[in-house]
Amino acid sequence: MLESVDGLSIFGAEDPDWSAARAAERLAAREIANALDLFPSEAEELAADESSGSCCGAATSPDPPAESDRDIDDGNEAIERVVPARAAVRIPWAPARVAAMVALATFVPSAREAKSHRSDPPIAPARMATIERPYVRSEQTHPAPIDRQETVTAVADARPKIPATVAAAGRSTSRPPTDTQPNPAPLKATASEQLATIAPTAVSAPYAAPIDSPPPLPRIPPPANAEAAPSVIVAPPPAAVPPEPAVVRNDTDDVRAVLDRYQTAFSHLDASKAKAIWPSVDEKALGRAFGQLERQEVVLEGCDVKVAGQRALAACRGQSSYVPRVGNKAARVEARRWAFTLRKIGESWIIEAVDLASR
Amino acid sequence: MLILAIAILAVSAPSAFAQRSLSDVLSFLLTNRSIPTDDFARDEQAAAATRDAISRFLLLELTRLPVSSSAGGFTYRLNPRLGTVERSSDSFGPFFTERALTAGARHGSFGLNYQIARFTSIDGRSLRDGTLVATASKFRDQSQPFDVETLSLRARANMATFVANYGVLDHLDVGVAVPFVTLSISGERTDTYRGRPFPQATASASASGLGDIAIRAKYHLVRNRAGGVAVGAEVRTPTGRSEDLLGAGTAALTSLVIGSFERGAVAWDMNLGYTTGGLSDELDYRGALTVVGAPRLTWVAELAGRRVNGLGTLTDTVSPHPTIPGVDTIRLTSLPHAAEQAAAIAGFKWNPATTWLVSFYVVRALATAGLNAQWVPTVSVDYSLGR
Repeated sequence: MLESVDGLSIFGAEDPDWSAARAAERLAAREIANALDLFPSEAEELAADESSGSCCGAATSPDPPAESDRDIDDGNEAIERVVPARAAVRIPWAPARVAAMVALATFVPSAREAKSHRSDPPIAPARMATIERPYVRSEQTHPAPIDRQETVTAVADARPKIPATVAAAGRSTSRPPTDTQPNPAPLKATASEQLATIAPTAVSAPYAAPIDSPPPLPRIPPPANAEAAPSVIVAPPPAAVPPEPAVVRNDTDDVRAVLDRYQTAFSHLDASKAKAIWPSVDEKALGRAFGQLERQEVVLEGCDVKVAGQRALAACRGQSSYVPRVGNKAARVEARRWAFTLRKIGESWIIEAVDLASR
Repeated sequence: MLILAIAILAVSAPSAFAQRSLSDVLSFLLTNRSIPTDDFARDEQAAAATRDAISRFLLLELTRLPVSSSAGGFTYRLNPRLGTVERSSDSFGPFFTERALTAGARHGSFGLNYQIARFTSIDGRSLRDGTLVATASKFRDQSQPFDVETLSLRARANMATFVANYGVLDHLDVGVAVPFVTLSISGERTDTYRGRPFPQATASASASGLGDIAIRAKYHLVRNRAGGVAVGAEVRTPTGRSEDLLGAGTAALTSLVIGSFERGAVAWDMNLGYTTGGLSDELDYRGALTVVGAPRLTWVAELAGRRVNGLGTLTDTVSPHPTIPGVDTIRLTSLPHAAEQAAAIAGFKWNPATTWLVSFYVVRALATAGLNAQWVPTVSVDYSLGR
């Protein structure tokens, strides 16, 4: 929809090439027709009215005559009937509108695109057009220049040479392709195919990339020592991942992990967590004992772990400090000795028995 | 604590009866003054027997000391089965009944109990309403005596007891109970001849001082958390003045077997003891039920009974008048029979902060033997030392 209004911006453009402006004018009118779903003749008439009414006023007078203004307003009203929301951005005063058009002509690419393709073939009938036509028609109406193909090829060739399968795998894992992906083109393709695959990338983009603009660069930066091989399209090589240090958890580590969990459960006064690693403990009694304490901290130090098959023994020293709920609130610290008997069930270790004594 | 106990006694008790002992005053009040029995030797014998009985009754009441320690409620012991410490007992224990649990090594406690007893009956007879007949003369063919001497007696005992307990070993406690006693007795003897009362004698006396100190020990033989079996022994030293009825005058040794069972919030404790020496041989049996109302509150219900071999019972003896035919002389005296006493105790122990413990209980006599008060309230404050 915006293109319909943007098309009006060529009125105020200080374009020295009047014919180009006219062509753009006609293009804009057709776009209006597309947008308004008018017959081509009506659109042509509307565009002609607009251009005739505005050519002189726009060219000779900063203050367009009221007639021209009315025509424009009519056109705008027509638009507004279809697109009520546009009325909100309608600029009532002509000079201000002209200034806005200048700005739009300067910055909106579609206007430039229209100017730079004044030799476009006739546009398809408006009835057959859709609002997306300006985007998809580029491969038919704007064949890419040769120099652009070469540019794209060169860029593609500059990519590192790796097997295509590797590249595909890399894309699927690290960056899945999306509709807005600017460069999801298969890497092994001819130059024309490459262009054809580049153009649709803007299907959902707000505007079509200018034809003479450089294609988007691949997101994966080529390695510094990559060779330029025009005929071979390769995916980036897999990153030279340094081999991870082999983390092999042995039984001793697992036993120590269980001891850590024991320490945590008893320090958090959590009988259920203690039960998880020490299934034979009387959880109810342990919970009652924990309930008599305000806090407790169990510290196991220097555990000597010995694993023998499916059984393990761990002898630890350490201390237990606690504050009772009833009685003297001063923390009591007592040195302790633990002797754990553990058993491996499946892949996990559990505590079978704990022999605890004061030191 | 000792100073406080002394101060309480100083305030609550009048000055000691300096000239005459309480025993003398009792003898004075009990001895016949006006009825012509023509057998004063018997009169004196009867008066002495009655006095001795009342004295024993009084002393017996003073020996009922709450010496049970509450320190176990503040003791935390390592439970190797669970791998953590736990409270030795959720309960603070009973008042009179010993529990098997000991305080634990190097755990001490001390406290002060204050008890007030106003005795209202003796062997089922009222002490205060003037119906206690000391001596009477009666025609055999009449149901009521024509000449009767009655005794009205007010006896009151205030007792502040300092108690301390210390865990020498994890399984061995030693303790001491030091009673400070104030006894006050006042009475009057009235002769009623053919319906006309004639006051014969009045007397009052009080005494205060150290009672018989008790030293005790307890060893936890079989432990099952707070329960188990323990044995104990208590020695009562004759530190109280016997003539003022503050002490027995002779040492006594009590042996005790203690059984305790605790499950959850409820605990049962049972004692069986035997005392030799002192006033008389005595068999003690006590039972206590404690219920943990909250971690800081324990409800206590106890039953304490004893069979005292030589306590004696008051009785009326009837003998023919030696000179007047058809007239019998009735005398209040005591017979050396064993007597059964029983009392119910109910109260609570509350821990307001840290290791302070405030207790309150009342004792209610369940049997008529001996001196009895309707309710004996006791309040105590204890503090536990150690970690």
